[in-house]
Amino acid sequence: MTARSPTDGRPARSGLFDDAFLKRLEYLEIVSRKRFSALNRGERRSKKLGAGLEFADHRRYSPGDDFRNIDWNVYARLGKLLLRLYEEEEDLFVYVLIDASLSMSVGESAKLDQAKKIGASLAYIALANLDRSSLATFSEKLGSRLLPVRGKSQIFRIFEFLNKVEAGGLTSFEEAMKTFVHDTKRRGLVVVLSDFYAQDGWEGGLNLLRYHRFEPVVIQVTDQRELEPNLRGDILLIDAETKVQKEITLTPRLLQKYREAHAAFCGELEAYCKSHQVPYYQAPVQRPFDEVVMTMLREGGFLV
Amino acid sequence: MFELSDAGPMFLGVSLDGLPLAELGKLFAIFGGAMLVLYILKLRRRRVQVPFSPLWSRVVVEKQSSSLFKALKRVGSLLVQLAIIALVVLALGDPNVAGAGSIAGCTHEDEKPPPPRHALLILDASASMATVEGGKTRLERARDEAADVISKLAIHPTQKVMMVQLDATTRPLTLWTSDPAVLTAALSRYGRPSSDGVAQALDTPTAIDDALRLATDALRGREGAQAIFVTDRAFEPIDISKLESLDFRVVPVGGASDNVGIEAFNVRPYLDDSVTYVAWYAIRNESANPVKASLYVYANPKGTSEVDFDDPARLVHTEPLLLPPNDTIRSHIPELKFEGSRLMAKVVVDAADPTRDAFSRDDLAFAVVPERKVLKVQLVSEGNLFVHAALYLRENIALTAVTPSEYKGPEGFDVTVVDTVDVDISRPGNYFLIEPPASAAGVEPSQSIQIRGRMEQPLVQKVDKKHPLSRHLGFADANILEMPVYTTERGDEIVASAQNGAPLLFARKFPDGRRAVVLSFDVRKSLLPMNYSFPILVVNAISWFAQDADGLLQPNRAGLPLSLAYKGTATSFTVKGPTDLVGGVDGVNARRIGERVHFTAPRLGIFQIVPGPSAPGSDPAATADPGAASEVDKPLEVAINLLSPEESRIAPRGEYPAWSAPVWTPPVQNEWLAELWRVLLLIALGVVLIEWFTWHRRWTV
Repeated sequence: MTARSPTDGRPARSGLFDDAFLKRLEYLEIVSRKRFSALNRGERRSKKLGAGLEFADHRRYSPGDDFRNIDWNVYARLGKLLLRLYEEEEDLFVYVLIDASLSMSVGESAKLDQAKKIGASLAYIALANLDRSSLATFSEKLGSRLLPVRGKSQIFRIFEFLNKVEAGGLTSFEEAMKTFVHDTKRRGLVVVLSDFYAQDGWEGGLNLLRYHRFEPVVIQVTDQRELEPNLRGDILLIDAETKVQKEITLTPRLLQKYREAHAAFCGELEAYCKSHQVPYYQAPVQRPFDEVVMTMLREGGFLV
Repeated sequence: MFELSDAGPMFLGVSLDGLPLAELGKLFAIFGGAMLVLYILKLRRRRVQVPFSPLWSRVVVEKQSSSLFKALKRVGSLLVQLAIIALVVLALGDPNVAGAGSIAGCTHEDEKPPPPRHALLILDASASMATVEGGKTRLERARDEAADVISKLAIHPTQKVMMVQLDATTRPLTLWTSDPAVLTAALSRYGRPSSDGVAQALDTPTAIDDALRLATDALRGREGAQAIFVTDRAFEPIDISKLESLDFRVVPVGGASDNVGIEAFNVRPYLDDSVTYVAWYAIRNESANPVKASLYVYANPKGTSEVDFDDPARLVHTEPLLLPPNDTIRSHIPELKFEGSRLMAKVVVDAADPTRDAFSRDDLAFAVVPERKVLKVQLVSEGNLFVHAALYLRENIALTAVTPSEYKGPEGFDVTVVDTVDVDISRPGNYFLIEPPASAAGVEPSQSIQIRGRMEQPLVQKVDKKHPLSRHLGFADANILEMPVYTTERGDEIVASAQNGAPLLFARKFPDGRRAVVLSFDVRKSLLPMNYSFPILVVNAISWFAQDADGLLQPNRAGLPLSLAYKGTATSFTVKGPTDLVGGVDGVNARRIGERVHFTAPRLGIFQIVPGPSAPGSDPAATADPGAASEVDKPLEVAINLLSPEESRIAPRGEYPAWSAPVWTPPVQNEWLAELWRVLLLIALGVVLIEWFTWHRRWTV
């Protein structure tokens, strides 16, 4: 692929996106349900009142306030000094957390690649909307991390970062999220891309995000081949992460039970997200990632 | 299989007809070991990496509780595999359970087996079976009937059948067997092969007596003995007394059909003429209507079969015939001239005649002209020139004239002529006696010629003109002066007699084998030497001896043993048969026994018996007559004919009990399953299928 960047003409990251895909992403806008305060004025309103353009409220004048904000019209009618308060527009911080545990690499790393592509897409969309994007990987702990960047020109740093991501280690949501919430001062949208195959469970990690006022978005990467293994008879199952071995005899009946168990697992995750108003999406590797980004996420209300 | 195989030793009541037990043990060890290795390899599980094993743990946790059952299933699977191998190996041993008929209830002998039966199936293959009726020969119909009989008889091991072909002799086609395959294969050898591949009847008569003797011997002492004769019944009815000891049943084929055939045909040269021949024939019309037919006589110096003769260019005689119904005409062709020595006669029903000749084999007859022999004649006389001169009239006579004192005996001569002299004629030989004196008799009265008186001027009163001695003779002007009156005996052939039956000319065969022709008067005391009849009489007398010796009128019939005179030195012979004899003359052997050559011809036509090498130590030059060795070692030619009135009468004769199928109803049989090894293989296959079915449904994994 020799696509060119729509902004500065540098070659796009081969193997992940092409120019047409990047252009289409520019028209998308991330809708955030919460407003966050930011150092710079962005395109979203924040709870912080300040030097914005849109009127928000009045308050009594206190000594030291900027005279320029006194509403003289009110003073003329009421004889009271009131200050005009404006909503200040700030940047949105979008954190993309990609599960890079060994379970994501099973099946020719299809799930990890899918997660990388979706993560890159979301990061690019954020950059295109003048938001800040940050990426991090995690397994049993928080892995490498790309500090928040701004501007579309930074997308190539994201590509380079993602290109270096390799699968390894166990999955420990709670440990990784604990590190993430403590190291991240700025709250924002946290997109978790994972298969959620965590030995210690995923609920504690997501709760940590919620408790620390991050807005988590759950994207579960799945692979249909895991549900329809082309296997029969006596086999020895080896856990990709823990290396635990288990002897089973695979029968159609057992396979059906496995599918039911997997569906139940996904159902638990989805139920948790619904109950806590956390957006939840599934991203099967069998679907093209651009389709996932452009149709599935849009239909889900994540993009407008 | 149960009967033909040699049963091995018994093990727990089971005998192995196939591989021995030791071999089976080796095979089981080899294949069982291989199966065990494969099973161990099968136990090695495939290693599969999964992203999240706890999910699997959820679904297999309930299986853990049945691990013991699973282990049992695994062992059971191994045992099933080993059982399959054991079944296959055991099947190779071809086990036979003593006392049991079969498995699966297919042919269980213990369940009301049919009563033991021994059926001798006799198939008629005689010449009359070549009769064509409804487009098929009787032999083909007989084969169909025999196949039907076999299908109804050979249905159980207790039902034994022996098949025999009957023609001029009996030929067993099988031994006692209950195997339909063996009987069906033997049925294909029934008859004789032909050029068109369809088996045909032989050209031989029906040796019914041989068949009855064989049936009696073969069925003696056997349970359920029965002789079943598939025949057209075209033979003389069997004496009912011969069937009393037999359960004799007939499966009839064929019916009444019209037939015209040659019953006799022969040819011989005139003894006084080397150019012309006389041929005799007898033709029978076996139909209820007079038949117009034609007789054709062909000659071919080298012909051996019908195809060699049946050529208009070789036709030497033809004459129309009107054959009376159910009668035989006998006649001769007096002046037949042809080249060579081989003839074929053929009778053909005129195309316009509505009678249809259903049997064609008797429409042909072959004949070979007997060779003219050089007769050695000894004349014992005091100098009777009449007799001496007359003996020179016939060709092929080597005459030796001696006086009574020089006479030493008849040895070495075909005929000894004794002219009114008294010599010893008691030694074996052929004698032409002219007024023998009473003292010329033998020692015993029965060996002598007795004189009971004398007669003056006898007159010829009676002449048997049909006797060969009287051929062309006339005694009218004999004018005999006197003669002795000899005593005639029973068996004497009186050719001419005078008053009161006094014999003038008669022939006698003595009990000791001597033969004599007696002329009662001295020719010098009559005018007979002045008559043309005298030399003819001498020739006839000489020829009479030669004629009987050669047996000219004896027919040679196919299928019957022939005995031919042979004086050569060869000890082995090669038989050359007719050109249309399919399969050649393999199996037709000629054997020499003494001065005779014996052989049996299987078919119509002209056979040639070529002498092989001479006996070691024999010296052809030592024979009495120089050049005789080459003469006697010439090939013998013999014409073989059907010439059997019994076979030509193709209509059924005689009524016999008809055969009917046994009433025993066999159980539903499956011969394929009747053998244990097949059942074992089926069980093994069934187990394999069950194992396969359950394996793929993960019931036994």
